[in-house]
Amino acid sequence: MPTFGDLKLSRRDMLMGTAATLALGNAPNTASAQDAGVSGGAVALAAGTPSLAKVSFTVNGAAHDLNLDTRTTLLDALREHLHLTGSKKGCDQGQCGACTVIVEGRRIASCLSLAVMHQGDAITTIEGLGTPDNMHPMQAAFVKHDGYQCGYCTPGQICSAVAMLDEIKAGMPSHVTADLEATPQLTNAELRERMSGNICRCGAYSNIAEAITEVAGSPA
Amino acid sequence: MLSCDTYLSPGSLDDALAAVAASDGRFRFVAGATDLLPWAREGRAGDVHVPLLVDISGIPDLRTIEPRDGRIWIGAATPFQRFLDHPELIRLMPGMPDCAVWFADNQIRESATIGGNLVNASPSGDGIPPLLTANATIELAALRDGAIRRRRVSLVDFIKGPGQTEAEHDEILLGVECDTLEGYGGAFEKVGHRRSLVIAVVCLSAVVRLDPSGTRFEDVRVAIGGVGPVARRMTDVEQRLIGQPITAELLRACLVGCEQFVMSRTRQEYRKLVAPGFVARGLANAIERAGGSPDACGIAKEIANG
Repeated sequence: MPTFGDLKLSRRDMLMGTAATLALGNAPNTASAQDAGVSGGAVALAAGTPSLAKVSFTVNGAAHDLNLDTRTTLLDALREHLHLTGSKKGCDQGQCGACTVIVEGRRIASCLSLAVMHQGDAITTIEGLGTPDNMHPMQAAFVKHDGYQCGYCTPGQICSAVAMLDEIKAGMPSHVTADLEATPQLTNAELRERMSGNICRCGAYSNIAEAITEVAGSPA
Repeated sequence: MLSCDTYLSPGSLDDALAAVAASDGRFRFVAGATDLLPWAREGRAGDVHVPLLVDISGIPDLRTIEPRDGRIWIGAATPFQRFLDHPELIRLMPGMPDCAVWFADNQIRESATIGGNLVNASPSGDGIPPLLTANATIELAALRDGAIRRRRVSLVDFIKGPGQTEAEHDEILLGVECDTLEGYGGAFEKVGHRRSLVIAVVCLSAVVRLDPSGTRFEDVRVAIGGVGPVARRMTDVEQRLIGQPITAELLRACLVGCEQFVMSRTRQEYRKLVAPGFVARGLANAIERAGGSPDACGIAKEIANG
């Protein structure tokens, strides 16, 4: 059996190859009715060498020029290329919020966005909000209120919470806002609804809510 | 994962159409990518290679929100979150903010576009029922014989089935033109497995305009999604209500037969219970938002509560 060294295959190449083989067998059957729209059009299985594309953006105030495999998500660019490993990969399909970062002042799921889509954007990650010696008020509040257990969802929770408070200031309503045209108040129900894209498997929600409430400056 | 040989972000419609014309036809348009990326992952389509990806979100027409000929133009690359913070959209599109708060979560809404929701053409697409109630017209553009061909299609005709639309492969959805519904009250009802990030089992949009006394329907528009291959306007319900005073008898009568809209392959019984309930609740919420009289609001709420 050839060793990985002989083949010069990284673990990732190996995994990618396996995934491609699986896809070959399953592709025609996996798309559900909901997927039909995206499955239409010219698509083929990945083959050959990856294509590279240049992209420049600012992360936490520092400019970066990257030459990336076009399939790189914003999350992977941050973690694997810029080594900003604070942003976490949870579900990798936009359902858990662990990868939440702030792009141009707005929170997005960085796993559902290609890095090349962010030419010229200003991106803020948990590392840009504060450092252990100089924490952002939201980070300090999470520490004070024990807003985590394992900590995996925490960077996403904090980035999401920071952007969420800005959304409330801007008057953006949520599902629980009684009057969609009135200025929303940060009630506990509003806070929980607005943070519903961030899942915490440890269930630290009550402490997370207390931390955010303290930063927002209103009682829970 | 989704991979491509070339990723282009053209700054004009001309450049975008020229790029696909110069290709061998194996390309995809992309904007928010929130449907495309999770689809091209293990467990669904797996590794997908598209030689050319054309990011159309930077084309000016697709980014524009403006009044046009007494209606409102919403560029296809408008993210759903704009229905919650763009003053003109909020004023002219009652019912859309109610839909947007149900759509995915805040993070996804910031990326996911209205045009993407339409071309994806999911039977459960949340954005489709409210656009049906706004009599949306789709504008498409493609290169034909060296010139840009623009054409307009009503949303009703645009979506032909699950994942199937009127758009040809090389046509770009530029945006939607909608009725301005200032003064209407809007509501959106949806049920799924959880509150956020779910595909609707049933979703419904209702917009109503009342007379100055708030006791009579002047206009009623209701559309239902998630219960068949395509979302549909409930014209029978609308016709029974338009011009009529709001009474319990009228509201009860308009619920009769609502279950006929359910043509799903699964969970038929459940959906047949939900459909009339959503009509009643959607109308009650819309009546309240439209400035219904205390009596009218009370009657509608009572019917909605069963």
